[in-house]
Amino acid sequence: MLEVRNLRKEYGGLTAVQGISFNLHPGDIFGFIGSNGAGKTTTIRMLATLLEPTAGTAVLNDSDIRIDPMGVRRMIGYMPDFFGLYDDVKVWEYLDFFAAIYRVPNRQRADVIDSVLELTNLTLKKDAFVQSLSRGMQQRLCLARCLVHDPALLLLDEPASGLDPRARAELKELIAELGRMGKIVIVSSHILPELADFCNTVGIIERGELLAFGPVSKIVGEMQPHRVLAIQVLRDVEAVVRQVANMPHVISAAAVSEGDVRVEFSGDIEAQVEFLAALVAKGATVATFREDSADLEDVFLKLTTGALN
Amino acid sequence: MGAAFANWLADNRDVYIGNATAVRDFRIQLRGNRSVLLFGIYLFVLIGVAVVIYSASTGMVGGTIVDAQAHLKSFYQVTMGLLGLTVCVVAPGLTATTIVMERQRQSIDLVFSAPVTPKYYLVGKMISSFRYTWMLLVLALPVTAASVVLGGASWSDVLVSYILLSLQGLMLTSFALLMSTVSPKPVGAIIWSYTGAILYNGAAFAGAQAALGILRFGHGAGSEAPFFVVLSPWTVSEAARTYTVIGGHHVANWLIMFVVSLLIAKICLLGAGSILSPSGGKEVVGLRLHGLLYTLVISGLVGWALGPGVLHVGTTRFASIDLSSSGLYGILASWLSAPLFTFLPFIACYGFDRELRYRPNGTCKPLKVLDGTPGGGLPFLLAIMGCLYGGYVFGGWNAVGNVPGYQFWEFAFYTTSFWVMFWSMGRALSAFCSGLKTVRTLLLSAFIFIVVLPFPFIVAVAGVESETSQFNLWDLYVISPLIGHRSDSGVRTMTLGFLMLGLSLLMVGIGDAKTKQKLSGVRNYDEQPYQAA
Repeated sequence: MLEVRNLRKEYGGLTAVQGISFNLHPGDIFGFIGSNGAGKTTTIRMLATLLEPTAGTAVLNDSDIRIDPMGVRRMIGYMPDFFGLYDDVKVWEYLDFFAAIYRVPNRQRADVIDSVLELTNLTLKKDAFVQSLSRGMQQRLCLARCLVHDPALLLLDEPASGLDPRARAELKELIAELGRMGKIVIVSSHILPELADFCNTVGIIERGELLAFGPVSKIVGEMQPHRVLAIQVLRDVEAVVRQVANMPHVISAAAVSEGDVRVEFSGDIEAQVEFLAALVAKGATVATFREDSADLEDVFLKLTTGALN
Repeated sequence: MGAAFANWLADNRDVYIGNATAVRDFRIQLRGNRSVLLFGIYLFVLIGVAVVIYSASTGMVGGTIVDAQAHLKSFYQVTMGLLGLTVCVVAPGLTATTIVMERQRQSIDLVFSAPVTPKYYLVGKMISSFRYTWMLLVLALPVTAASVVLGGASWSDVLVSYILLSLQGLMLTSFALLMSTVSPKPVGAIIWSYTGAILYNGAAFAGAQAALGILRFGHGAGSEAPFFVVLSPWTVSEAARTYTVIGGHHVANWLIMFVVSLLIAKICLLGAGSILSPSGGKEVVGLRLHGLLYTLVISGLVGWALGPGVLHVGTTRFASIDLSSSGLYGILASWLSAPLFTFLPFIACYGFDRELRYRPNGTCKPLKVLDGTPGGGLPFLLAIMGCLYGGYVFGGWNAVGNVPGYQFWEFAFYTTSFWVMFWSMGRALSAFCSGLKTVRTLLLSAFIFIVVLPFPFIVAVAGVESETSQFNLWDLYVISPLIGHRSDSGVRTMTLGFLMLGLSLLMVGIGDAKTKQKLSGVRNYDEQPYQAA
């Protein structure tokens, strides 16, 4: 389990991270969302023990990042937003080096390297030089490096940046698989729809402050307490708006453009079915009817201002 | 106890044998045809030069056997000189970019997010760089062996010379590693590493030549020579057989060199490790403890060497310092503290833009003397001065059996005040600037402006100081007590000491007030509730 307690980082007069707190459990895939300079990388680097917190701490399976950084390092895999690859090194040598510094016993190293290469689908590239790999493969190699010591926590800083759609989809599937393996995965990204797909928890950070934290559905639900229905009618929009406004569970109704009506609706899904039936029964020429649900991007844009530290 | 020892043994085995950093670098160094080609060219050049020198040395016809032996000896000396040159060029060049390039590539973050200690990483880097230099030395063995076969040197000469060259390579490698850790850019690391190597070579060569000159001109006894003759890579062939008499025993100078080079390598690695380690890292404590210990030992040795009849080459004993006129003795002790100017910016300055250990944590906290935080700066500076003068007096007392008089203590007071003044200047600058790097540069610049630059100016305007001059520009020069000795030196020294102490108090007061104001500003900024969207 990872407990982040009031983690804070200051640089001179600038507070990069303003005392953030959250808890994650094994199997959690946490999407860390924020603009550039919001404090995501600083937080991840503090969790990776590469930066010393000014205040607060984080505890991973009873090891405190301030008191026992070496203990924490044994349990984390850190993948930064750059490759940090060495030239003139083969794929297996690169992994062998990291397996050695993570104190993976010599006897087990070959097996460990084979298994992480298989997991990241790089077995065929075992003897290739790292600089000869494509960007997607290098990214997967970096992920393989993070896995050689079977960490409990994976810190992935912008893992999908610069990848083509196929490589991105593969990486997404890989991260989801790691979550299923019981690892805690923290992923920072700008690409919000992608995070919503495989993260079960998200956190939105701006100017070093954690503005929202929790399951995607909960955060979206909190931001949009009522259903929003988008109705397209063929004729008499104004008349339809007047009719709808007087119907049960309707909070507000407005014509948003030629033929489009936006309805704020407080009823549940059953009430929504009855509402549509009643509307058609009243003679409204309904062409399309759909629930306009908010997504992570809407929540992000609503919560944040784009202000930088 | 047993378990702790076993752990220590296992840790050291991991660090020194099969170090992953060294293994990886070794694979890269020896990959493909490049290394074979480089070694081939190196051997080709070395053999070519050796053949040319050998032909030039032995080309004359009709010489005596004595002449032939002399020529063969000079051939051996030139060959070893070439190897010395190789070590001086290759060791810093190979090492200078190792850490700084990793930092630029950011791969150092990947390494330090793993359970890797600075010691493990630095030793691995040092092994990989030093091993390459050593391979070049070993490759040249057939060329030097020719000297043995032809009669220019014995195997023991060659072996000891190789040991000396290896140890010099070790020192240059460790220094370059330190520069590579300190420097933010590869070019800076290379320049500083070679600058260090050139300064070291210049000083070591001058010292070795002076001592060997006495031996050559027949003033020495056999091959007894001061230890420093083995420090120069250019004179290893001549210095290989020298020894120093310690307590009536002949101790080979290469053995002393072995200890000294390991100590130098260790303090360089500790310096690099303290930069890479997090707050409270044991490398910082180790560096400070070693700094104090080395100061104590070096000043003790110098104090002892200045005693009557101690300093000699062979049977020639040099004039010693008479402790009853302690002014000069005090001046020499004060000059020993000169290297502090390079370290003071790291001891005195703090910054608001760095990790916790660089942030202000009080003016003077004796308990923080070893942890590298700004609060422990003054206690550490005073401890260094204590070790310097304590060691010096102890060494002198061992040589002559008495302690120096009051004039010596006047210089001790003056010099301590001098460094305290620069320490307080560092704190005042730290309070008004935010960047630690800027503050350190400013303090170093201030030192140069106040201490170094006025000297040529005053010499040009006021001429050389004399006993008769009542008051002149020299009286305004902050280190004037250390460069001239007049009958009123005591008054001048003490006056300057008190003035500097007063100025220190003023600067510390201003600096601390500003720091408090800055810190409260930071707190106020943080306490403002952040308005989310």
